[in-house]
Amino acid sequence: MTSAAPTVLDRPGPFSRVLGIGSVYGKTLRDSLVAAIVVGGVAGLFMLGTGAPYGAAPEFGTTELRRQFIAGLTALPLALRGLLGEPINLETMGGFLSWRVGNFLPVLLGLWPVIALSGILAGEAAKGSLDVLAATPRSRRTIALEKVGAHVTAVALAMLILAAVIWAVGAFFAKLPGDEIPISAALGQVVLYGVMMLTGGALSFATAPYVGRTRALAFGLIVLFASYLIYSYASLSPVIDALTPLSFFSWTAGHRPMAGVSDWTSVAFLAVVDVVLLAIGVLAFERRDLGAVANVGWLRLPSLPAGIAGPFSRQLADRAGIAIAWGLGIGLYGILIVASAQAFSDSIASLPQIAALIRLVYPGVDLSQPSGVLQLTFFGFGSFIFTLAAASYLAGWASDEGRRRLEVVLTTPVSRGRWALRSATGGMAAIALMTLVVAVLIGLGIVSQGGDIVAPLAGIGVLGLAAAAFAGVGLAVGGLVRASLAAWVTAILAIATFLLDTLGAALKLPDVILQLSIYKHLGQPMAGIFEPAGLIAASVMVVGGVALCTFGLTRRDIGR
Amino acid sequence: MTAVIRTERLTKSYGDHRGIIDLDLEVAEGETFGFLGPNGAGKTTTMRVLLDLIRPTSGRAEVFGIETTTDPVAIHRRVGYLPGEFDLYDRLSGADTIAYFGNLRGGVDRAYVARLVDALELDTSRRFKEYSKGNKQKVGLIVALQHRPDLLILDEPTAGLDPLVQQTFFALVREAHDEGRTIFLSSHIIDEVDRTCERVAIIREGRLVQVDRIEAIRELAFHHVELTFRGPVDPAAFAGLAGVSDVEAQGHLITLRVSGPIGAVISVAAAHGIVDVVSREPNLEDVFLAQYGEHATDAGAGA
Repeated sequence: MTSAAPTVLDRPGPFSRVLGIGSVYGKTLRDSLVAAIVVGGVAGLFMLGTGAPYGAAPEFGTTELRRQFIAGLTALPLALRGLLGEPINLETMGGFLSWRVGNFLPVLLGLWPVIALSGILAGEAAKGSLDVLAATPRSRRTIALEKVGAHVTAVALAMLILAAVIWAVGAFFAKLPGDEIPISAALGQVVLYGVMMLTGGALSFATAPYVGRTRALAFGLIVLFASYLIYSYASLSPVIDALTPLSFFSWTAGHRPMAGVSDWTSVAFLAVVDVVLLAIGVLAFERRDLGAVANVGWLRLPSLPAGIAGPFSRQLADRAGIAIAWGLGIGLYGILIVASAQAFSDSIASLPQIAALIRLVYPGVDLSQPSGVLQLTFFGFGSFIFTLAAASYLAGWASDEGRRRLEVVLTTPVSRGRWALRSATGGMAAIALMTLVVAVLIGLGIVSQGGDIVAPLAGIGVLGLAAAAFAGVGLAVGGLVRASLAAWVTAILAIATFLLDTLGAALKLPDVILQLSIYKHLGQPMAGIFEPAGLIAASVMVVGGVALCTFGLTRRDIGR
Repeated sequence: MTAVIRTERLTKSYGDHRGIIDLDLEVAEGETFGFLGPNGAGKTTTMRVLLDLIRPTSGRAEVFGIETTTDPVAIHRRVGYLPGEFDLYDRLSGADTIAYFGNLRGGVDRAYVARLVDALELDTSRRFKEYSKGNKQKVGLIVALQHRPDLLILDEPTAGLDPLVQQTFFALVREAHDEGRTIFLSSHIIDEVDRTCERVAIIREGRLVQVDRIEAIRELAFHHVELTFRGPVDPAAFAGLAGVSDVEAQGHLITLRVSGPIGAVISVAAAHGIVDVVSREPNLEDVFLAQYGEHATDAGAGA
């Protein structure tokens, strides 16, 4: 064995303390750096993809043309308009970006702090490294503060990247007076995003010492998505409207510096909430036993029995809880859409021009039915979430190999091929289970509202099939190359396809690129319109993915 | 001598589950102290309480005269800890891992770290996740030792190490002892404790059952002996020998248990035409059960 001299310094240098292994803060920040750049970059891409066409396209070349376009958009029913932001100064680049992108951006970006802060201490405690860290002469409070501080710094860094992109979009694509976005406005806007991003994560951080990482993650996600949906759909129903004070999206709705209005008091209040939650997490970490959680075994979702019959049932049982959770979340979102379908249809009926436009884009879709409304308002975002859920199941599937359980399993008379085939099928079954839960919930919603139920349920099945197709690609890569790649590949495909579908046309990408999205080839399934070629292709991806996964796992080394 | 570790009626429970119960323990400065017990007896729980990683349910624990919950950082400053099970940072190399913890402590002697790396024959250029279990253990040992702590708390330190590296480890422990440092070492392997420790505590089902010099514990040990003869031999020839018990005959084979010197047994066996002899050292559980029985959990514990 060779031994390289270690590079231990008696006193770590300042750079190492800030961004290196010289301190807990430095190491955490170093570990978060790539994520910060990716988050800032993806958020910037949304701004660029929306702002560049708005500034450059001749359709928006004059104030009058913009007003006409905006009049059409703002005439959209609340169900659609709510998912966008506050319509303030939409004739300007900043106002338009804030309205079109700024509302859902904190939801997407907020996933990062929730995932990171739920596990920043609890995850390390679970693997045992926190024992070693906590045995160093750093108080627990210092460790927790340094870790949280590093994550907040990483969020700030991501937001600085976003602010630079926002400013650049205004500077390079401004066409009309007022299109330029001052750097102060861009910074003011990203401060809001940063504070909103952190809220869900701070809640996860506060609760993780008490309930463990998984439940804390769930709490953060629920608060993040629920706040967004309550705010977005408040005007559709008095019941939802009554919940508005609970949504932190609504607290800060008046702060849109890019659009020229500010409400720093609301941002400061939300920031105080974040700080209080983070402080609770720090104190809890300081005072509670390391790695211990409260007796909250009762706080769990219904799941399947242990699943010890074989690799299929084991895989399905392990993934069932999270599959049901995803199913409930997506299903409740679908119910919200169904509940507002009638209002949506009425609004459309009162706007003949919009109705004609929708008929042109979505031929054959009957907007008087919940199925048509679901196709219009649920299918796009739903497909993205379905595939992200599938990626999370594959992360669990890969952990069998990553955590070396597979080596024990394969010392039994279970062949590699048999394990791969059955466990991969078990992962697919988890997607089917989630699809079933979504279908049941949305089906119940439609039954209570009235309307065609067959087409939406078939459409939900197609969503499940498409997610399974992406998972098939992930499984193939996981089997052939490395199991841990399966979830990443699936998630990247989901994000890339979502970006392609939402920004591709605006960026004037060639049609051949736009057609790469599988959702372009599935028809309008929620409305009962199917394209057999796309469905066959998706099925081939599912079967082929599992087959390639099986083939790969029989050929390569285990534990790579 | 000053007590480096002192616990008084220390109890830790996890809800309905037992951790440790009324533990009274004292480890003197400069002592190498073994903490023996079967799996799940409460060894790790005790160590984690001493480091304030978990808090006592009742009773108290002091390290260096400081109550563990009062100023853990002051304790940690003088302690090196190797957990029984741990996983560090997958993406850091061995050198970076060692450097990281060295940085968190400060004042680490670079030359000493290099010596530890050489002594344990660790390739520090590889990522932590690429290490075998034994090499991960080596990294953990270096992290625990690198700052020359006044107190080493080592939870099953030789797990996963090959015999040669174990020798190196024992040499490092001896060196630490010679420098006057205190070592608190848990194990379920008698031989490991026998080779390194001056005093030993035995813990079972969360309770301390004995604290004594290693020589006294050693006296508890016995051997299972199997004697094979050319033909059948009357077991009564062995039954009366000092320290011999549980004699059983099965054709040409006689099995018995021997406490203390085995010379008399060999002499009698030789006179009866012995063909083969097999002697097995029992594990701690066997020794313990033989001495204290299934339900024994209380004894004259104390320093």
